[in-house]
Amino acid sequence: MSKDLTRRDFLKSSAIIAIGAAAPPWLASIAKADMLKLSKGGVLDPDNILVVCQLSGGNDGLNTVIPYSDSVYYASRPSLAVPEAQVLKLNESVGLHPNLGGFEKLFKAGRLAIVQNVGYPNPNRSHFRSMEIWQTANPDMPEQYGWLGKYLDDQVKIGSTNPVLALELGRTKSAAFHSKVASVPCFASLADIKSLVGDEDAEWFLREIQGMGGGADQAAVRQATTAALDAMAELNLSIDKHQSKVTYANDAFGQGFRQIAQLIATSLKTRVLYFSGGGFDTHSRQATDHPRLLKGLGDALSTFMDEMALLGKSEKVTVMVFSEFGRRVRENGSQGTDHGAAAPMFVVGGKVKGGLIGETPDLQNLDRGDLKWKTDFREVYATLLDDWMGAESAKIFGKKFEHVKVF
Amino acid sequence: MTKEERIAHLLRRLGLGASFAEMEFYTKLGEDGTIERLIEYDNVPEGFDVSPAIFAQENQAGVEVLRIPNVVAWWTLRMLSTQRPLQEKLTLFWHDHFAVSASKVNQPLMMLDYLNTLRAGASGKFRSLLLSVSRDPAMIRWLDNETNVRGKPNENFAREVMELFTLGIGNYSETDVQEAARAFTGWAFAPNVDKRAAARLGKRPQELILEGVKQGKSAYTFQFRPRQHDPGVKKILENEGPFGGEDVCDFLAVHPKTAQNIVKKLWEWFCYMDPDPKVVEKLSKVFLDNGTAVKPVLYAILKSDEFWSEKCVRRQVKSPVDFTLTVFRQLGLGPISLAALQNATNERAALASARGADLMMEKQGMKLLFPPDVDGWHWGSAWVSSATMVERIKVADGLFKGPANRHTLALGAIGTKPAATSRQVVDALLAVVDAKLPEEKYSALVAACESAGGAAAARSPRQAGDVANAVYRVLFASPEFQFC
Repeated sequence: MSKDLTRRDFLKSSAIIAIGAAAPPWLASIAKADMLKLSKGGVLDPDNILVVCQLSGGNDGLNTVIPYSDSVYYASRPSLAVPEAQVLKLNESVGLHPNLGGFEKLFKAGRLAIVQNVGYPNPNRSHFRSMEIWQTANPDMPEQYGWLGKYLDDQVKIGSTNPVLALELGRTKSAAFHSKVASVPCFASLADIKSLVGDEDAEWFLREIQGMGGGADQAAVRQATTAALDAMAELNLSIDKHQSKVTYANDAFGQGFRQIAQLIATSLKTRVLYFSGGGFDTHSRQATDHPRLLKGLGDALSTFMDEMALLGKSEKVTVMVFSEFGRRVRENGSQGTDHGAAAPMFVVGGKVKGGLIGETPDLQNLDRGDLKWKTDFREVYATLLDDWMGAESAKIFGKKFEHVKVF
Repeated sequence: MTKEERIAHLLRRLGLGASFAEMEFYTKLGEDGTIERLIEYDNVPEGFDVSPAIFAQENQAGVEVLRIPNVVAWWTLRMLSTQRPLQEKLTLFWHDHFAVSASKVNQPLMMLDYLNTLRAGASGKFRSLLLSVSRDPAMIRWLDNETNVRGKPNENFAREVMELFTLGIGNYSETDVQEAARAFTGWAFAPNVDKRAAARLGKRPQELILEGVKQGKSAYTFQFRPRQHDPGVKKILENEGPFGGEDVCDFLAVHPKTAQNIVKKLWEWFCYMDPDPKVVEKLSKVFLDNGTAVKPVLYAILKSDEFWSEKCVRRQVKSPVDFTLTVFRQLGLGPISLAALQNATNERAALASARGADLMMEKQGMKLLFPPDVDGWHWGSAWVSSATMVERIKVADGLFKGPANRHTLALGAIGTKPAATSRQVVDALLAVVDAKLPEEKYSALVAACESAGGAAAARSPRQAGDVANAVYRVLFASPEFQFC
């Protein structure tokens, strides 16, 4: 019997609970927890999908969500500040970069929540350490497993053998997915999915050569190859069956979200998707690079949500956008900005309660030239894990975090 | 381990794999002779004297330019052909350590200069290399130092030189970063050309630059701009004075934390990840006692028991270079390309193999000259993912599905001794690529061989490529073959 936790299984198990019969204990406990949340009127649903979009390099939050009414912003950024007249105003103090028309549309439709001043204690200004902190959700010390990896390990523990429960679009797997037992396939492009399956003999040779034994290092190879083969076997017949009715731009974000949409349309068992876009480390020439990236991101997300609506999936999908840090308030001598600290996060989806969360950035009261954080990023993670994915974030993070009001 | 096994281990780690030809050559030299020849490579003829400039092509304006993919392919061709494999392996090590990407530098000749800087200093003193890389135009451009000027510092280079190139995170303060940025103000670069001479000759400066490159000159040079330099007093790592960038490089190069980081990284490059702290301590001492010279560290690594231990031999995850270029070398594709270069009227044809290899490596997650960021690539188990394993399997298709000479290439690999059984074909194909698999894994390989026609097909000049393709696909998917 398949142990994939699909909607059908979930309904079956709920029915079992309803009639009071003996369900397998693991199934009963998760289903019960889920039922409780559902009965409280939350947004939780076993079909919910989480898309995580990582902006690598440190996105300049202040030129993304612009505090246009603050003269300190203009004084600090003589060459980079966006003139007030161009800002897409969201309220009397902040607005979006003019290239974020896509975000403005989502905001007006009430589907974009902007959490301001997000960060963590003792902000680290190293790309690598800070990204690791975000991916492992532990600012205190290096951690072996990622926050999503831990979530997936829990799913395996309660019986899931779903080979496409989570999937990353990329050549390497993000540390957010590092896990003890769960295996997460990643593909550079969905076109690769048809590359190793189809010929039964050829597929058998590739599986047979994986063998057993050989220690942990060989096991990691076996897991990666098997994860690829299992995911291909699961997806290769359905993946082509989707014809997109919308048009994405040809940049990294457009093509990334196009493929995310294709997966959501064709893989009914996938619940977590991960995708990264780079180029945000704008130490110089920020005025050329950053607006282009923002346009790519905003347009891709807006087109993606349009496609979700066409598929009848907009209420099943939540997208979270983050970066490892924001950038310094004052621009540097190269028409760029150096590494900073707190920055906004974005949560998008049909069930999301749109709006601005948290105070307008305080440019007077800085920490070594950088914005101080007001909301711990783990509060956003905890909200998504608990309220959207039906997980127990307190167990994953080792402590309980407040929730932010994004749903 | 037998003598041959020890030499093969040396070639896998210090070289670019163990091919039949190299095994024969180095076995005659013995272990000590092999070590000396690999490390003292300055005394060895390289067997590669191809100028990258010959791969320049006319652009739309009719001017000859060298493009980035051809710079990369030229380097790959060098790795495929060189008799000094450690020289290229160390150049790659420093390319990863001082990671500069052409994505931002965007000047092919500047990237070529940078590669030459790395190669020239690859086995010398780290102190000299750090200074020459810090002054290298590609690095200056990559980390924005040409816009780091008095009164308006840009911290990019100052931060990364401490965090990634020397001390490591946690061993400097944010103030150190800001002060060091002031010390590096005024460091810039300029094209290595006399513009007036160019005008006199009626040529564009870029044409003269390319001519210079053909004669072995650099395309750009370091330039110090005193008016942009901040001459004031700086406080950096407990030193105080009106420092310039050279002073900062010196403080950093000989710092004990730098020694630890560099020798640990060298150990991880040549042996395995996460060495015992005692190993790092011992090698740090060697590094500092020898004025930050790299060669003594290499000799010390080879003298350690750990290098020859079970924990080390055939336990390192192959990087895309180890995986791909080793197989290309073992199949003889370097000399084949060089021969094509001597005969061909079209130089680009000679780059075909190298460019094919570059594409394969890129898909495995390593696009040479385009590291993902200033931290370089992630090594060890990070090379292995579902996506990259798919690409490793497809290397067999790249070699034996498309190319016109695929059957010839396969017949060369299967060998001159006629194989009577599929098992013998498999044995021959595995031996060429230095693969060692446990007995129970052979059934899948033999079955793959049979599916492509078995021993009879393996002898056929019209089918041998299909057999090699089928067997290597399965071998390349095996967990064992991912380690060297």
